[in-house]
Amino acid sequence: MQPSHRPLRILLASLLVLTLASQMSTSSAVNKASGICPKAGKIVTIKSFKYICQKSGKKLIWVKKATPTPKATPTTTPEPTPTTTPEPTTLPQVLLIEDLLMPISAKLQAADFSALTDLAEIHIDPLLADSQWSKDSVASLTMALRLLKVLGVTPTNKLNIYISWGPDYRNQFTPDFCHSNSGGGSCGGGIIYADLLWFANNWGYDGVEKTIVAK
Amino acid sequence: MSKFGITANIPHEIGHVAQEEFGIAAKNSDYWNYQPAWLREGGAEFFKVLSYSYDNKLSYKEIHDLYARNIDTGCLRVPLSQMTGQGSYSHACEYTKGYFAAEYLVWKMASIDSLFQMVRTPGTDTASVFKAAYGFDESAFEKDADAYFAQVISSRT
Repeated sequence: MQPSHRPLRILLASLLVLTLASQMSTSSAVNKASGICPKAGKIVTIKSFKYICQKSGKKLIWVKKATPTPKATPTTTPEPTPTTTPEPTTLPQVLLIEDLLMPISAKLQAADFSALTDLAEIHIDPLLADSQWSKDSVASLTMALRLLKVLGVTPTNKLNIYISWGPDYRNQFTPDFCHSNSGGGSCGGGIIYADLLWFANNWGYDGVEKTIVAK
Repeated sequence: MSKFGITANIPHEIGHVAQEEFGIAAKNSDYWNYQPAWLREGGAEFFKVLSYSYDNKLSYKEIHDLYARNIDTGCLRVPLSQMTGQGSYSHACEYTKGYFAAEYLVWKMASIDSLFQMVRTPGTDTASVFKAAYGFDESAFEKDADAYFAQVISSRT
């Protein structure tokens, strides 16, 4: 009969369990980034903030825990009520969103965007021929279309985008219900407009582009 | 702020295209009747913010802080529960405060996709569609998001 290794096996198994438990604890803390947590009531401390695992709808998610104010004096002072710790500069939610965005960032790096130019046609008001705002607006479209693709959206209709200086140009091409006094609109059917004069008049922007109308 | 305000206008409208397309894909073209204004405009703002941050190589925190620095504090007095219809609201808070409410929703649901979950959820009134989409009450969420907005304002640098 061979000598029994049972005590050694038990010891090794215990060490393995402890090691895995330790790793699971670490990964749970890391998982605060996705918001999902493993067990209701579990508490982790990250950057001096405590997070408690709570049920929200059908999910278990990390929720920042209110930090009780320390008791000041032993007798006559009323019991302090729990209060949320002030956050001087950084909200933890923002940091968690940074992590949530990582898959989108990766897809933006990897995806093939060669077909995007077929998705949209841009029409520019002749008054904006020399406008830097107009050029910047046109340039912004590329990333917006890439993001659209990464989110899994392919527009049903080709996008027709009108960049206008005032309503006259855009109103020629947009449906009546879209002739509102606003800086931009999505009128359905792929029709979009941006009215840069509206922004200049309503938001100011130091009046940089007001020189355009003087031409 | 001027470059952000001007050049990000079209990405905001593309954000509405995303909403519309998710609604079409879900055969839920009535979504706009039930989606609160703060989620409609705040969701499009969130899309715009992402697009601008990637375009200009800013971290999410940097763009969040840029947005927060320029926000109208008048929105502190306009609760999200007042921005549930189809109209326009005081200080254009459905856009700015709506953005932070959308951010809070993304955090709470741990998913960017949550911005479009309500668009994909059929129903006949805002409260029940919201509950079906997210699993919690709209009114409770709006109070929490109001508090989050106040926290953003008080902590901005």
